[in-house]
Amino acid sequence: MSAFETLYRANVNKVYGLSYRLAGDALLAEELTQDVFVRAWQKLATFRGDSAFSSWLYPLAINVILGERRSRQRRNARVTTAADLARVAGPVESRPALRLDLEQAIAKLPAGARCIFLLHDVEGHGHDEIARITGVTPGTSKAQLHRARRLLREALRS
Amino acid sequence: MRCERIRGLLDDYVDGLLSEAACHEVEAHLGECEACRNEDAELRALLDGAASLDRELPPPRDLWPDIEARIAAERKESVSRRPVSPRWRFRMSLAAAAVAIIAVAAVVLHRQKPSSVIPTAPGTLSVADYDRENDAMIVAARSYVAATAELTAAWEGRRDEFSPETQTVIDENLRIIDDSLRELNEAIRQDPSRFELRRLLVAAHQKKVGTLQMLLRVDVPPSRADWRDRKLKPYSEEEKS
Repeated sequence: MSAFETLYRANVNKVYGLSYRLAGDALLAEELTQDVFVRAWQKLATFRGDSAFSSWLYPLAINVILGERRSRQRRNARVTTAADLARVAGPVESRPALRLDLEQAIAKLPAGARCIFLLHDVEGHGHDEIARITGVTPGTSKAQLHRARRLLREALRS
Repeated sequence: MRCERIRGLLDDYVDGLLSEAACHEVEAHLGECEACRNEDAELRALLDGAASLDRELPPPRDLWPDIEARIAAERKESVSRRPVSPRWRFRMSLAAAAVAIIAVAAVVLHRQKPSSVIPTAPGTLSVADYDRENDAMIVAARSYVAATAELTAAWEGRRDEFSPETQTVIDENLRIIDDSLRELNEAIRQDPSRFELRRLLVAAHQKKVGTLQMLLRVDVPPSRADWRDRKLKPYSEEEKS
């Protein structure tokens, strides 16, 4: 097994999970995950070993996913299926129904709000970091997060 | 009106972004307003739910074969289109020479008698000190294994920038370090109680990490002047420089 394959195997679940939630589509998430690792390969020379590989890979992955998602969305809009959502939420019997509801509600968020919510409340990034990664201002990040939380609470109430 | 203002602050309140004064204001209001308390509880439940979602999700199939094929295609394309200036090739030769020195040092280091490498006289370490050092060595060696895997991948990513001859020299020297690591691991397997061996193992790992880092840092690409020179000078003259 090559060293890069080792790194792929150590990080693929995290990259795929993020791709899936940001893209809301299983096939697209597979393509995005591949894109992330190919891009990582191309840019490996910029990894200096002064941080963990995952810390280096993660912002790169978000950039690739957001960039590709935007361009692909323009080309073909796909509809997220119930089966897709069940997959990301895992087997129903092993998880509370609330979690599936939350996954479904997240998937229905507008793209910008979903992205910020995932990065902030699921992945745990701060607004400054999100601003750096996505290119929006910290103020926009906060506004989108506020919107996402409001929409999610409304969706979960109904 | 007051409820509306407080609810507008709740996001920042739960995120810990409010000033102390604003925090007190929100808390005072929550103490007396049930509707806003419910809003606060609902928001916190949402955040708890978000935090409990799995951040990792395995893809439905192994994506590595497709990625590997795409990388192979990339490498092929990159080799065919990337010119390597003789000056850059020369720098790589210097880097390879440095690697050789480091690799030899690693081998010499681990073949030295432990007493000549470890300055500590016998009996100066208590059993507790000994155990603590031994544990630290084990942890350090594991950290280096992880770091080496990452750096090796990075090296693989840029090996095409080096001439085939230089790649061979570097690979050979990395192999020497790997041999040292294997020998040390085998010695430790046979005699796990000797922490001098673990110190040597960590030293060998350090050498490998240092070598790979150096390879990644020798990244002076051909400057504009290099390329200008390339255009102005015949190839034979450039070789001499």
